[in-house]
Amino acid sequence: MFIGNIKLIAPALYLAFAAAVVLILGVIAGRKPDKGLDHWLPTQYLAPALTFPGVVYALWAVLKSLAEAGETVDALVGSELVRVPAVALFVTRGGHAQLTVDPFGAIFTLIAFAGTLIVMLLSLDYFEARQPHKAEYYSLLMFAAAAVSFAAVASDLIAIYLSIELLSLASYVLASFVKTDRRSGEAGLKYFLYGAACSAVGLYGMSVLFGVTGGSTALSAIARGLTPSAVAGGAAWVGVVFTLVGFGFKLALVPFQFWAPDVYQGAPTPVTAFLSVVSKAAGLVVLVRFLVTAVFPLPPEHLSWYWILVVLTAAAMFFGNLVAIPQKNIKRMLAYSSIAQVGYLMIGVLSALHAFTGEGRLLPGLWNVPNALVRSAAGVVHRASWETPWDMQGVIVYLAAYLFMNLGAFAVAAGLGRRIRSDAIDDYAGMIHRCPFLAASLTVFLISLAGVPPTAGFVGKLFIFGGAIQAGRSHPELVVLAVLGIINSVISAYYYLNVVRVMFFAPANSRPSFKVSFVLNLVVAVCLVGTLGLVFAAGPVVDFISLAVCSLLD
Amino acid sequence: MSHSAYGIPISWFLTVGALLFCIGLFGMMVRRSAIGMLLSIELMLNAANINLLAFGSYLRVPTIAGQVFAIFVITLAAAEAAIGLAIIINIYRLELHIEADKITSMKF
Repeated sequence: MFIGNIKLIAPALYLAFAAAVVLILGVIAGRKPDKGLDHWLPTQYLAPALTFPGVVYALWAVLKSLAEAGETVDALVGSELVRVPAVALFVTRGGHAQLTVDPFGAIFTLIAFAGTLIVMLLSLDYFEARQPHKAEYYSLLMFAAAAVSFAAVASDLIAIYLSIELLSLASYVLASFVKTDRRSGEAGLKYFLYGAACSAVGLYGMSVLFGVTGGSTALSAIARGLTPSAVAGGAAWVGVVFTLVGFGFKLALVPFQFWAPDVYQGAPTPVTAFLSVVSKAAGLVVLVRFLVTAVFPLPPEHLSWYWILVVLTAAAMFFGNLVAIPQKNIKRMLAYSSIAQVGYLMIGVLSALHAFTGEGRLLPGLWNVPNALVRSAAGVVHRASWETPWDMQGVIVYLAAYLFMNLGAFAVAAGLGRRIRSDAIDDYAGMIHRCPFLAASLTVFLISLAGVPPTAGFVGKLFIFGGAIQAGRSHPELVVLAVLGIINSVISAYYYLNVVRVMFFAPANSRPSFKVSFVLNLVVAVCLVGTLGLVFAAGPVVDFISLAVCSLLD
Repeated sequence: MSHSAYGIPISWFLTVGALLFCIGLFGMMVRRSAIGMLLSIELMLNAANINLLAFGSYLRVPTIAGQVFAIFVITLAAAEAAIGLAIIINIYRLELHIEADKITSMKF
């Protein structure tokens, strides 16, 4: 086995190590609360302080991965010499990498770490300083973030399954963390039962895929095994669809969204924010890598699952937005809204996939590097034209926008919910007078979620829908999806702006105004800067990523 | 990939795996007790394990990868059961029962 440049996954290793440190220190300090260790080194401050270097480290890994993405190294695997990309780690015989730290995965790591740090700061405000089991809480968050980071770079079924399960196990506990709250317990139970069942279905699909493609767990090897004749048998179809069930659950893609409303409403609000952004990013990155590397290299006429995904994308948008309209609880409304947001993200994924199908079967793209370059050593690589180079970047831009606007919305919901002791939208009446900064910020976040300029959500939607329409020249169903997406944005504006209406125009009945803590203001301000700043940053960032993509193609 | 030295066709193993999976899925749908659902999930995981082991030893080029995957799955199933039982015990303390369909404190 060729190990490769292990430094590229160092951010994830660092965070897992830091999580263990937080856990052990917390257990020692917990034996004598109020004095000694916990007084000098409170876990709730130690954990974010240890996570912040992780974010910086992840940023370094992104730059490193961008610099190395186009390069190859000669690796000695067993007795054969194969040429593999410099970003491939743990390369087994045949040149299949188990981890691929390409820029796509590295950027997802950065998004996950940044999101986790924001969630930690939010937890500081949400839980009192005397929160029980705080060391366990923060270390679970850090373990979950490390798991997302591994999932983002995993290009092997075992690695994908393990990292997603590590994330799931941490999330189940986090969802039911408030042991005395019946809703939190119910959220944990439902999340656990549905999640474990869906991951078992996904595992069964993986086992079938493992068999019908010739006994390798690497995604690039599965791509070679998924020949049209293998797919004709039907077993491969079962394998792919069952595997997609497992990923679809994490993503809360319709029809696997049934857990989301109850879990989002019942879980502590910072955990809800984590589940809706970071955990969802893990599902998205794994789904994309599975589709791009393993499944989509097949010729399009065999892609019945492509049409299933197209239908599910449209269904997700309509279901999420229509059911969100009558909701009375802001967390539940945001749950349905995030189901719809997955639909928008999936449009971006589907339109980007076409760069990898058909002629592009062996395209040395950003994500299926190992397969393509090994074959180019044998001299059979075909390079397709890269018609829509900014599609997958659209997904990244939208996810970055979603990170800030959705975390921001949940941060305000958490802060207000703790102080007015209610999550009902009607109780937000007159909030613009009671707490002007939070109310104004929530307005910005909701406008951004609806996709109104000049916000990050608008830029993200511009990229997603623009990419779909551009790819739609040869694939008309994408144009239909883009049109449905625009219709859905209008629908969603109704219930988002309803909250704004309540906050601004409903009578407050002279309830007192209140101040919130510094850390909550900080979190909201960071999200606000992200939501508004991404509009200006999107251009340069995309140029930067395009440069990386183009350097791959030369 | 039809016969091994044992003379048992692989289809037998795969059938057992598929049956086990269907029993688990059926149990997941009809069971009301959270413990029963947890057991059904374990059945589904073990169905996947049987598949992995059978494929690993019956393929044209036998591979260790199936057994390695299965060991990871067994480990994870144990961790999942531990966390699941902890969550169920917590629910029992709050609700005094573990009937999953009767735990509905949230409605819109």
